[in-house]
Amino acid sequence: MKTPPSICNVNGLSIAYQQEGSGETVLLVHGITTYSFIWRRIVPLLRDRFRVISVDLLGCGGSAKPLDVSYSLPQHCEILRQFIECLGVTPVHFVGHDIGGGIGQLFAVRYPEKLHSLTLINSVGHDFWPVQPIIAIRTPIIRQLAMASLDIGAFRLVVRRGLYHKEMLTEELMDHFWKPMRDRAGRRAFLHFANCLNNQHLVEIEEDLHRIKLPVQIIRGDADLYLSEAIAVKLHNDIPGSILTRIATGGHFIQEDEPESLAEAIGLSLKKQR
Amino acid sequence: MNNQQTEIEKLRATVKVLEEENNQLSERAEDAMLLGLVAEAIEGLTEPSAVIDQVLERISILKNLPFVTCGSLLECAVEKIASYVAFSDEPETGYPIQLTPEVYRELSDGPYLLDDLQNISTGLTKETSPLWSALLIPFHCHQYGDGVFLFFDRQTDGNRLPSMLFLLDQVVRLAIGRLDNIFLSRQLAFLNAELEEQVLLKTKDLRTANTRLTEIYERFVSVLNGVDSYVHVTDTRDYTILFANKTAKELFGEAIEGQKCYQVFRQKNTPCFFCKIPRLLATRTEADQTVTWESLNPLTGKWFLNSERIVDWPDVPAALLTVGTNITDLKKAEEEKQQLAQSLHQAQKMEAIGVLAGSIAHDLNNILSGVVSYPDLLLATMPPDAPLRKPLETIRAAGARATKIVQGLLSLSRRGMQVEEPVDLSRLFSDYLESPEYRELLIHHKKVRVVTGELQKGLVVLGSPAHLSNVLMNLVNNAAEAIQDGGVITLGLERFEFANQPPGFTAWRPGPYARLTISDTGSGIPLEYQERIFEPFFSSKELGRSGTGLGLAVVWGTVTDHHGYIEVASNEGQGTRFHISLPLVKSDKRREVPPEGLPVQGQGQSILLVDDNEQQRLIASEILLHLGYKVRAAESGEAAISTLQDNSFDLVILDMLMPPGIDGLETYKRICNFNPRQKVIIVSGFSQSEQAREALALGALQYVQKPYALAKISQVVHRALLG
Repeated sequence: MKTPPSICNVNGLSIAYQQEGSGETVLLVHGITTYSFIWRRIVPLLRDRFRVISVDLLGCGGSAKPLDVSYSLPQHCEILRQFIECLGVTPVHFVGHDIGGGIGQLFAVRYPEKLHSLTLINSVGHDFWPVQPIIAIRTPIIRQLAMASLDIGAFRLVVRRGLYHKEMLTEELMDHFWKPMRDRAGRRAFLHFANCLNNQHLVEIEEDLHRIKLPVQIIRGDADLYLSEAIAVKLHNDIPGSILTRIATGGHFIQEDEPESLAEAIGLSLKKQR
Repeated sequence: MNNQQTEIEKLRATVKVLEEENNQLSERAEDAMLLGLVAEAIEGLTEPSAVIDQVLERISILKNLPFVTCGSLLECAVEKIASYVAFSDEPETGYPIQLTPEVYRELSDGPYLLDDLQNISTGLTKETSPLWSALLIPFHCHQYGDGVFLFFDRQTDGNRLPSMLFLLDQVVRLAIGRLDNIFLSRQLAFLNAELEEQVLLKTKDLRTANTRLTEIYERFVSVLNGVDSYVHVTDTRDYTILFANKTAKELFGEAIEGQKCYQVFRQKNTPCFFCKIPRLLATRTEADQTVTWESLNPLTGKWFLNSERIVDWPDVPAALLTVGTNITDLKKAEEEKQQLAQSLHQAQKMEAIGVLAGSIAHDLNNILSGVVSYPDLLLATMPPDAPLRKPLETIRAAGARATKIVQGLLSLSRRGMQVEEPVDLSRLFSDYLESPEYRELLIHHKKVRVVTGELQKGLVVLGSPAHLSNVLMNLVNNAAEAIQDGGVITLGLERFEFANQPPGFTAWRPGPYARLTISDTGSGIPLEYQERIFEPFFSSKELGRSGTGLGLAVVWGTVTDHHGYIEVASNEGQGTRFHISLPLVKSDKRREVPPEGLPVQGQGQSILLVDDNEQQRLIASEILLHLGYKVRAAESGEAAISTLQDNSFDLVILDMLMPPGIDGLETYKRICNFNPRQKVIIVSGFSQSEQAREALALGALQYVQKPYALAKISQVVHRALLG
């Protein structure tokens, strides 16, 4: 039975999260179009060894969805810092997927002392996102997302493109993805989230990445159609000592495609780094 | 190199054009998709505000417009209906919105583009949106009346709104179409509901009315079917039967409705000549105009009392209601009643006359006694060649005739038959045909020929031979008198039996009758007299030649006394036939009819004669002495009792009426008290009375009617003394 999310109040903004297991804290941070549910297959594989916290970013899942607050990467970064401080779990192993990976890069540059390690899974980076057109449909991702927020058919297309194992797209999984779009507040926050994304924030820290001393693992699902391989390669090249792990049958939503491989990669990485 | 650069430039220009075209095509495709999404989103919505909400959100998201709103137009003021703000949770963001009069006027011509917000006042502050453009698209719908859609955009990528005008206009039309559709659907649903309610109410009313009408009709038919009379309604225009009750259908056929009345009730092809419709239509304005008439229906053979009037009938200007009550039994009863009344009238008349005649006859009888009795005595003692014998015989004959008249009067009084004995009718006929009266009749009516048909032998009735002979004589006399210039009288006698009780023959009993027939070829009896011929003293010239007017009355009385029946058939100018039917006597009552005898002489026996009339006493005493008896007379009952107490007599001849003293019956009772074996004969001037009958019942031997005739008294006295 699924436990209800816990809430942490950060500067008047309620942040929802799930916490399981004990040990060093692993903070799982999702990306756009998803929320903490995306870690549902990973948490059980890690909780025996770690305290696993999966958080809903501002504007996503069970967290607050204000429109008068920016959902930019630096904003998320600051909220997460206060969040882990509030929970008293620093330092943490930061595991970020997609946008969550972008936040992780910022976090590692700004607050390296609050981290044990950094794991970037199919992460954004530099200026290769999110305005990069998806070649297959020749439409900017932001417009794709706008359409997807209004039409479950369009959303299913988005999710389907993100999976390597297409058969994994069950109604149950689609329900998780579509849940925030069921009400106007969810849709509006989602679009606000998308509108606030600005690759400039990562371009600005390009040089800083070279100075990261933390153990960093970059995990690339080779079947990710949304974010190019070039991002992973560049991050691996830019961050000294980083490890690049490639999973051939992982799509953008690699947590669904290959949870065991992913968890193993994460676990091995954390163990080694520790 | 230059060429290559030129070529590259050209290719770049071509690529740019292609990209531009591609973008435009993509935008068109997106627009089409957006319209599809909007249409899909609002399909099936029933709340107008939800429609606008959905439309605004989709426009805002898909066209990336930060603020879109829709409001009613109250002059220049925009009253919010719905908004979508991409950047704020505040529901009233952007409001209040006020247009300048110029913009308001422009809206009457259609969509209006604003490059800045100079001519529109909004709640959007310059701080949050320094460079705004706006597109206003007016609309009119049933739900909100005049209104406007306002699309705001930040001019970060230049003014995009002009390029969206066509799309947004389409979206607005789509939304307004849906709003009108919802409104009209609601109106329709409302009207439908109202209509359904009205239909339900009306249906209920109609059902109730229908049920009531059915009940009324059923009651109407039930009542009419329960009536014994036939009831039908006829269209006065074409004589079609519109309605008929059960009785009418039972009498004239189940399928008579729809047929013509004259065909159904009379089997005719044209309306009846006595039809009451024209008369009723002519007088229909008169209140309660009803025609009542009796008719004998030729199809059923029944009498009906018809009552007809004009009544209202659906879709018929004038309908005829006919109620026909079967009065056949009533008619029959009425006829019987009339016959009874006539019989009663006749009986009463006869009774009254009888009383009168009885009184007259009693007095005349006493007077006639001298005329009838003395010639007998004188002739008995006179030598055959005596010169006075002839005149005395004439006196005796006249007395006999007078006696007949008196006896006729006595018969009329209907006080019973003097004699009741077996009478052989064939002998009655033959006796009559040999009688002086018959011979005299033939002498007076030389042109009359009497034909005797078959006279059946052995037909015996119980009654008075004298009276029955009188009947025959009377009828033959009448027949002869009806024949003026020659004709035939036919006499007949036969055994006969009635199949049923003949009308008016109340004494009828099943069994054999003797039928006497006396018919003639005379002048016949006029129709107006036929019913009156049996009345006493009724006489016409033709019928009354005998002068008494009592002939047929006596016949009627005699036949009635004999429990018989008279039938008369007469055609004026052709003749008359009388049938007299008399009940035949049963075989055990038949006796040898005694022959008419000569006077029987006495042997000197003693007789006490009791009569209050001195003349009667004298005559009777003379006769009895002449016959060889010893006679003593007493003038009253009291004197007789006294005499008998001191003397013995072989026989007492006792008159019944002796006022003012005790009557014969009382006298007889007193005699019986002291000498029950005393032989007594009863005599009376009247027909056999109740007193006489009682005396006979007590033991008196005989009853003899006055006047005292020699032969008759000699036989009666002789038989009494022998018994």
